[in-house]
Amino acid sequence: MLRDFCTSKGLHKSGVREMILLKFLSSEHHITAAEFWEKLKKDHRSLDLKTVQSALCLLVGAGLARELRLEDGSLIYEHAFAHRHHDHLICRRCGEMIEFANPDIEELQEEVAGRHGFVVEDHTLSLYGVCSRCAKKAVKEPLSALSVEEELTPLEKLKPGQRGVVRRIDGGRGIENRLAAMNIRPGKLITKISAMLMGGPVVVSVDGRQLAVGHGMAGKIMVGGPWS
Amino acid sequence: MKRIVLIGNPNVGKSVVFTRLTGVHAIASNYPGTTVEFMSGQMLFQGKRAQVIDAPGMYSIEPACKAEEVAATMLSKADLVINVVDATNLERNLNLTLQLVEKGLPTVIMLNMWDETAHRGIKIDVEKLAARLGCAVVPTVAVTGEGIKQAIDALEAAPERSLRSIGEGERWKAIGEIISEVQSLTHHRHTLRQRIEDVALNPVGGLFIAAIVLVASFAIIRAIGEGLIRHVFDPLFELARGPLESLSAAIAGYPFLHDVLIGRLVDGQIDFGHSFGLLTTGFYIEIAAVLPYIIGFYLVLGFLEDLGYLPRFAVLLDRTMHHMGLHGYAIVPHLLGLGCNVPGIMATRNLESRRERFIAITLISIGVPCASLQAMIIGLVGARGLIYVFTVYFIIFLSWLFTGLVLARLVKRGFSPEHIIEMPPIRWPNASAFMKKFWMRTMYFLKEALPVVLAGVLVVNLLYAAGAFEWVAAAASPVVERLWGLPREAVVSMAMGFLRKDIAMGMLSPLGLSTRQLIVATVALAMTFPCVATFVMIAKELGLRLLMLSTIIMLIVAITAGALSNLALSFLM
Repeated sequence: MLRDFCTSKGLHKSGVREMILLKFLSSEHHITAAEFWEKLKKDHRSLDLKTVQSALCLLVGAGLARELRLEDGSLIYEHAFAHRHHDHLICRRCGEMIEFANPDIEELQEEVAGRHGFVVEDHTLSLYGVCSRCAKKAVKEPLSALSVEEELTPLEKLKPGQRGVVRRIDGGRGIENRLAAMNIRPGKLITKISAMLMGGPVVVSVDGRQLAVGHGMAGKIMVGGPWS
Repeated sequence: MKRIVLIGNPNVGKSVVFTRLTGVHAIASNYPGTTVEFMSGQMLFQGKRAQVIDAPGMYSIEPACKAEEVAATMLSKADLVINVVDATNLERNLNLTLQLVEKGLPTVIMLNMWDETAHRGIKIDVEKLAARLGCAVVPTVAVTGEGIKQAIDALEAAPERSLRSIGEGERWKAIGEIISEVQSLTHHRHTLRQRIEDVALNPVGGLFIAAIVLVASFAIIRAIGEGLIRHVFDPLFELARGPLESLSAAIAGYPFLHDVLIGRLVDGQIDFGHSFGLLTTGFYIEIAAVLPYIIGFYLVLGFLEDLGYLPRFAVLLDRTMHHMGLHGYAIVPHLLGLGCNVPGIMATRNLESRRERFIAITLISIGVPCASLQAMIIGLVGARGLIYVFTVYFIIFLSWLFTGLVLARLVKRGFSPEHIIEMPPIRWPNASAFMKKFWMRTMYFLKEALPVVLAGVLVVNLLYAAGAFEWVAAAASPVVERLWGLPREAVVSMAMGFLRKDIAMGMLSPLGLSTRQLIVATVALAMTFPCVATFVMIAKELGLRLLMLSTIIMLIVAITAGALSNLALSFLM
């Protein structure tokens, strides 16, 4: 197939390109050019990154591979040959990519495009978030949590007099709304005033108002810096 | 008739505004949840009479407890809305305000407590805020009446608006924008007020303060009560002695009438405590024995309420109260119950679950003696020695504690100790608001209590004459005589306790009880059936089925406590 394509485009097929294609088809699903090059280098010392990149570009052009541009700008390749169209769920923590295909979404896309008199030729859809494994890990170790950038502390662990910023509420929507109605929500400055003994309520101050929060609920309020 | 509803977060001053608008006095205090039931009054609006409703406070349109449900129902029936907003806490209050604005009803917003913004360093651009919200905004100071008239003028001119929906997620964003546009804060130093607020909630210092507050409260209530009795009410009744004794001589020929009006003479004289006539003991108990302590109690309670101290007390006790299946906040209904159980039971509406309300109501009716009863306990038992008063309180407290521990385990289902309560700012009570509330409560007591007491004395005298008590006494004698070690006449007092506790205590005094018997009788009286007014209130709040359950628990506890203390005291005394 590559041969046909090359001929039609007037490119000469090379042994290297054929090798790259075969390797690519037998490789794992999602890979960047650099990762792929690292893999190939083990057997083909002389290969350089540029050759790999241009070969992959060629594959994409031939409709044998698909290019996916991630949030951070890097390109990822997967094979398209003999694969049905699908979209991706991408975990921001571990980089896990989950493929999915949903006819309803596809139909909706066509509908939206149709309304604009637009003809869809191709598309990519990537949903970014947290995969189930990472989410589970976060529950077990709330401290290391999902935070890549900074460590969050539950409100109850703050020292009396310490002030930070509410970053996240680890609870259902009900709890989140109740806390929000009392002015405890992400972005608010919060000062811990005291905690009653033996797991009693935690007293905090938000906007100069004191609130007493149950001990358990205080553990669900995640606070981060800047501290003061 | 148009219906105007006052809506706002808890503790922003809705009830004060309501009183200003309608002249109907609503109890207002400085803590969230003072209003649990709506109040209704009337005012002149657009030249016609309009109904004004003071709804309980709510943080959000979606109700989280029974009081908030009441508010939500009131809102759904509103033609016009007055949204009372705490100007010193605008950001949080706007959450509800935006939800209200979305409803599209003609609305005016009162920026209440406007006077406090200045010394907190808060500046609000009222015109800009009005423009952003699309309805009139008027700064007010409800306790002085400032701005109230302008707000009503604005409401009269308020147009019906088209619905404007802001999504849940976008609301906070919208609030953030509004706040940054209309409000500016100047930084201010830690004030004395804040320092007091912080210390009152310190796990150690707070308990110390709580202990001082409690001891001081009881000392002040006793001082006021006894002072009034000695210097005001006793001399007053001595003045009445002359005329009453001439009346007694005049009707001496009609023994029945004499018994009802004057009662039995002791050593040929009227004895206000023991004679038990309508005009003697009937008036004396309510006016000279109970009223002075009621005055003392409501002065102290009102002060603590308006100061904003009570919810802090609740936070300190939260952990302890959990053992009884209650939140710390349940202590507030308990404290109110120390005045009269009826408002105490009503105040349980701020508790979230029905189960918690059941426990709290049962505990209040068993373990919280009302001020009338306490006045008589201090008067009657105190005459034998202060140590015995403490004994009575100690037994009642133990019974309360034990019942709570058992109830919490029996009805465990559905308890969520997670709770957020707002602490009101500590502020010096406003004198006129404080006096108004005190006056209302005292008048309420006189209006409620006096007729019942007089009727009760009359009924007792009539039943005595008819010999009906013999029958009741025979029926109840196994418990009263065997278990409690009391003379069978005490049954009459217990039965009377159903009408009013204070008069029932008064009936114990002519029986010549030993100290031990007096203690047992007092304990039993305090814990058995609450008075009829409380009974009706419980039925209203819990329904008949739970009322029965509550009564059965009450009887078991009272019989056990009476029997055990009789047993224990017979070893000790």
